[in-house]
Amino acid sequence: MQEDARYREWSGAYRPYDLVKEASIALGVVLALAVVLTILFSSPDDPPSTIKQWSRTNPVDFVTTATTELDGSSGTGGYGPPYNHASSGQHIAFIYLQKWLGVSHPIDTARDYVLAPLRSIAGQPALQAAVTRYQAAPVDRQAAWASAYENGLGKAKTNPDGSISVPAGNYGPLPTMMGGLLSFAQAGGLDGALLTSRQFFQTDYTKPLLLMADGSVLADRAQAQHLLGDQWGMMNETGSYPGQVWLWLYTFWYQIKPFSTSANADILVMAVMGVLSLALILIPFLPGIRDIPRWIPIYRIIWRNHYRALDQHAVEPLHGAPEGASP
Amino acid sequence: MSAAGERSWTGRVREHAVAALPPEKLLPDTQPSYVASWIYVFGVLSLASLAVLILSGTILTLKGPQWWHFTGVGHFFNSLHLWSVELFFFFMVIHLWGKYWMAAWRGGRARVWITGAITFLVAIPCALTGYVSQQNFDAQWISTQAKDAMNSAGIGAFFNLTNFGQMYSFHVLLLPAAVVAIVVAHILLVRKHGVVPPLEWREMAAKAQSPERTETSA
Amino acid sequence: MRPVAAIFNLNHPAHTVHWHFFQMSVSNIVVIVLMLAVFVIAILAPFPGHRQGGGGS
Repeated sequence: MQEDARYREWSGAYRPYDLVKEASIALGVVLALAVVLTILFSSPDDPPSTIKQWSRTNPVDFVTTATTELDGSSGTGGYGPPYNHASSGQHIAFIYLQKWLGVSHPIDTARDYVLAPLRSIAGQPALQAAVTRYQAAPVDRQAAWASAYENGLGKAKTNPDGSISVPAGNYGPLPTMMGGLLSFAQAGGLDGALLTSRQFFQTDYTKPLLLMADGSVLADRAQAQHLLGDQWGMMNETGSYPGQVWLWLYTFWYQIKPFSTSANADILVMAVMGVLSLALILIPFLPGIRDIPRWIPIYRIIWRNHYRALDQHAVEPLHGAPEGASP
Repeated sequence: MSAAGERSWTGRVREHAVAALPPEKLLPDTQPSYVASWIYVFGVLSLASLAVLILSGTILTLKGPQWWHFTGVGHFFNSLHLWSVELFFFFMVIHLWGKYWMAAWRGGRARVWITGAITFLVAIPCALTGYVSQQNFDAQWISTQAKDAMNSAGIGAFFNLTNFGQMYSFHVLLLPAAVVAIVVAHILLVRKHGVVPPLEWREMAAKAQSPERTETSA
Repeated sequence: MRPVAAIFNLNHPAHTVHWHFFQMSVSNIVVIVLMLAVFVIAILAPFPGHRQGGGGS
């Protein structure tokens, strides 16, 4: 493009300039700013929730969540890949990326969250007998117990000793199992058991985190801190600290239809943001978008000294003349 | 200069590098007269913020990821790290706005714009991996929420936000290395092509009015 | 909570601005307003001309 070639080289005036000094000054300024902000505001550090705390402060919610893990009706139980095959996950039209990338982090919610931890508890024969009775029962009986128990939990009460009471019903061995799991959790055993289930050394907190996320312990704290999705929480930080302001457009889409009411909201937003990100990268090639700076001439303010100097000298600006360019 | 210069890979790399970026271009001590606005300082301010980010992050890695929860000094460096992130995005976005309104991709500088945009887009997941590595409530919440976006696109199958070990590795090594590599490319391209000259709007307007008007502008 | 020596304690739930479906914390609004203000000031503020060491890139 002829006009674009005019801008390749500048053969006009230069003036002295100290690049290394400027970079050093910038480093000093930013360091000073960061130190001042640190002294003024510090940084947030809300301590993490634990399963131990959760089971002590809200035992009904904990037991309800555990029961939904047992019958697979929890969020994780019905999630699909990468945790299990319970659903095909989110999709756009015929593109099922979530399903196609497969189950890379398998979680069997009944086994991992309830049965295996219970089996690891020693010295409680009644508890072990309850688990055996549950595992020996046919699948539809297990489902019926769990369903009835979840209904009962809707009217449960917390006892002073931290256990819970549920109205009478046909729950089979579930009250014994869940009572055992609750005590185990309240003693801190479940936090550890979920973390070290594969080996001693662990850095993968997926299992305990998903269990907590299936309940209300994290969401309750998040709501108080304005971190929920419909509170534009993606942009926010705990407390009154500034958060991730650059995520404004990511969270914006979730607030409006069709995203706000879609079961595929996440993949839809990812797709939109993928396209917009590509557009950002390719602005130099997008007609219209690349022309807006010429139509809204903020550049005339930025380079006003340059244009004023041109006026004063009343000389044509010097630039390399590409072949065929008009004078 | 070695007689084998043109044949050897080393010689060819050296010749290309020196041709593209002779020392006076790599470290110039003059600048075009039109570089005369405060908007021009935001590139170097972004770079300085990145440097403070990396320095404060390095101190945090020296003592391991739990240190800052238990000592005042550790918390101080964590705060420095957080505020330099905020400053980095603050200055970088203003730099982006300035470069957009200057149409700074003109004159063969498309790759400068492209590398700059990619820096911004890679910095975002780099920050995300940092947030989920904090080992506090914020990390618990962000990881359990953002995992849904990752999983929906299949990314969760190999990029597990709730896997602290993986996220910490991405945050401390892989993504900062990517950001630094792209920033270096960006800066070398700026040095190679020079700072974009001003739009010659009066020449364009005069050409549009003159009877012997040539090609329309790009 | 660990000991935090900060002059302003920001560890309380944020004040938020609500308007229809728009919700933002005051802290984030401050950051955005600051960015816009700094951008405008950077463009409008007079730049010392033809002096050594004051340039930018």
